[in-house]
Amino acid sequence: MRAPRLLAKIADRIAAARRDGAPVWAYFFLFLFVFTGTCAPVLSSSQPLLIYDKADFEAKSGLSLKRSPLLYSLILSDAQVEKIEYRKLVSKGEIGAVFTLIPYSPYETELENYLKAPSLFGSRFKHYLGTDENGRDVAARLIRGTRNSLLVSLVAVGLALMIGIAIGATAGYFGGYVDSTISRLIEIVICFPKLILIIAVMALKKPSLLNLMIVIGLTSWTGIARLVRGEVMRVRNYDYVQSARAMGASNWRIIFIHILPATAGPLSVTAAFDVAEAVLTESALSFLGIGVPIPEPSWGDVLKTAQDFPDIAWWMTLFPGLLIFLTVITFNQIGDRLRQRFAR
Amino acid sequence: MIPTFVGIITITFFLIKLRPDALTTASMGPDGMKESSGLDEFQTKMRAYYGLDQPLHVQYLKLWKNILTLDFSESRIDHRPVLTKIGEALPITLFFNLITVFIVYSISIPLGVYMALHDGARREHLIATVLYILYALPGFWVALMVLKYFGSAEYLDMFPLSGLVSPYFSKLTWYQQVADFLWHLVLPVFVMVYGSFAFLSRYMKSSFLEALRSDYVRTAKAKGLNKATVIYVHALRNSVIPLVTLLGGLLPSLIGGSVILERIFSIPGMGKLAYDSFYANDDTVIIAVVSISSVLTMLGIFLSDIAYMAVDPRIRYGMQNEKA
Repeated sequence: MRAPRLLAKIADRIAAARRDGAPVWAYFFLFLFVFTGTCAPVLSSSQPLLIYDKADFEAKSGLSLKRSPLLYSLILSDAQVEKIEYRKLVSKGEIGAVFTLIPYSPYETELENYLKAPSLFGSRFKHYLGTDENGRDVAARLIRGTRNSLLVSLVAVGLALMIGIAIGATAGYFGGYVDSTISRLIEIVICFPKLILIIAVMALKKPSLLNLMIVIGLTSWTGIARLVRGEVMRVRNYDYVQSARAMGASNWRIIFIHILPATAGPLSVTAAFDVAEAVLTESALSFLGIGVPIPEPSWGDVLKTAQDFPDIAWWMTLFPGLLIFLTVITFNQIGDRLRQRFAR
Repeated sequence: MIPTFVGIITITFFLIKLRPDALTTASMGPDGMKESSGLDEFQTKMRAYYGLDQPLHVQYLKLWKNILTLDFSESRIDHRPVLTKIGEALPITLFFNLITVFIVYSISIPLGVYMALHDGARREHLIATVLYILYALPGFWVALMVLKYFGSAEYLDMFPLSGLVSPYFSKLTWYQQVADFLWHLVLPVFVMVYGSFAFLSRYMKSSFLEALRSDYVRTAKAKGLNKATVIYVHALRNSVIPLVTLLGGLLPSLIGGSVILERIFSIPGMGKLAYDSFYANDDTVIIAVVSISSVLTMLGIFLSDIAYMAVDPRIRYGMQNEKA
């Protein structure tokens, strides 16, 4: 009784949002991406979720087998996970097991299965989106890549927001000498060829997810800073800010409590578009081979391997590109929606 | 402008100096890359030759002397003059981007006007949706896809995979040479055009709509001018103004070249030169590429500011800070 009522409630909400002109499909994709990103290790793993028939196997190998190797592998470190090829055991019929969505790990290589085309029918264990040149499952790599791409982009945009707000608010609020110095700084970062700056910094640092986030964040704060600067300049002479100043509020209190909340609307619009931009930058860097470090998958990384086999491996070009495209268009839609909401 | 330039060059200088012993390994080939405990005789010689044994501030001042006298010396990799290398790369990038800008503007202005005039109609909605999708498609992915489907032998073998001219270029007659060159241009220019064209058309549409709703257009209509005069003389001229500033925003990528697209299509432009020289630790080329592209970018932004003032008399230079 309860579940249908909840579903009806959700359906009502969706219908109301749609009447309101909200891009419901974009919210759906956003949910899907966030869900895939957070649950990536569970969604694609070579460890089965549940072993329901292990009697024979235990008798033969003498191992004490945990009922759910997947959940154990999430807790244990890689070295502690027992190296058992569950898929082989299942296809031989020695154990019965339930796997999650993709029964492959994004890192394991099956060299005999390299560059297999996608197959939807046939044996129990198949590569839905094919394999790459090392025999790694493309679907598994794309799922783990969703996690890496979104993590990198969101953290990078968060960093850009912090830098941009701090710098933009300082310039806009204090004006004068401070403002012209900071404006020169922003100008420098804008005139510096962005990708070249990123490449130069990435060449200094060891490639890692954290460095990637920092580099993308450090090069994409200029738009935010300019926006915040303009907004702060607009708001700082409003009556309520003046009266706060008359009451003796400190500069920082005025900036953080009175001015910055007023900029939140336009800022969220830029932030949404910046996430789309960061996803593009991340995949472009991984495509150039200076993005995520080597064994880690990413959408751009799959595209990079596809570039070497343009004739045969269409599945390695099509699917990651579609994912990048869907992410970008989702965040663009959300940005447009926010802009409509906050239109002045 | 000058402080900005000083800042850019200083940042580039320190980016280069921060790299681990970039300058001794660069010109020594594979053997030089191995880890060694100290500098051997050859490395010391190389450092002295390039002036790297001097203190940092001397090197920095020397760099400025070289830039101000436009003496960029020679590449550390192939020992050709840096200016020659840039002289080969810059025209290619500029040519590509000028063609792109020309095509983009000549498509998107009429398309934007068309969309604004048919605002709300079903075909306008269709065009807008297609443009929205085009705008979100990642360029390097589209490049891979067109190469795959229009360039590779397995599908449609219509266009060449890479480069600017065919290997047998010198044996062709001049009109064949032109045809060959254009044939190589199609795919890269297509990939460079589609994204910005989608963006500009949408922008043009909203700008034109705004102009159509403005008072002076209403006045012109009320005066009884015919529709064509109102649209093409009164509204169009004013709605193009924002596009002029957008050109300034496009400039950094126009001059710096697109690193990724130039790599995919093997176009020997500025982006590829910058990328290659960073990976080869070719410091003289890096400095030259960064300084030239940043100067040209600043010039471009400056020019578009001036153009903006020229077309819109309401804007004066001093007011710019208030407006931004």
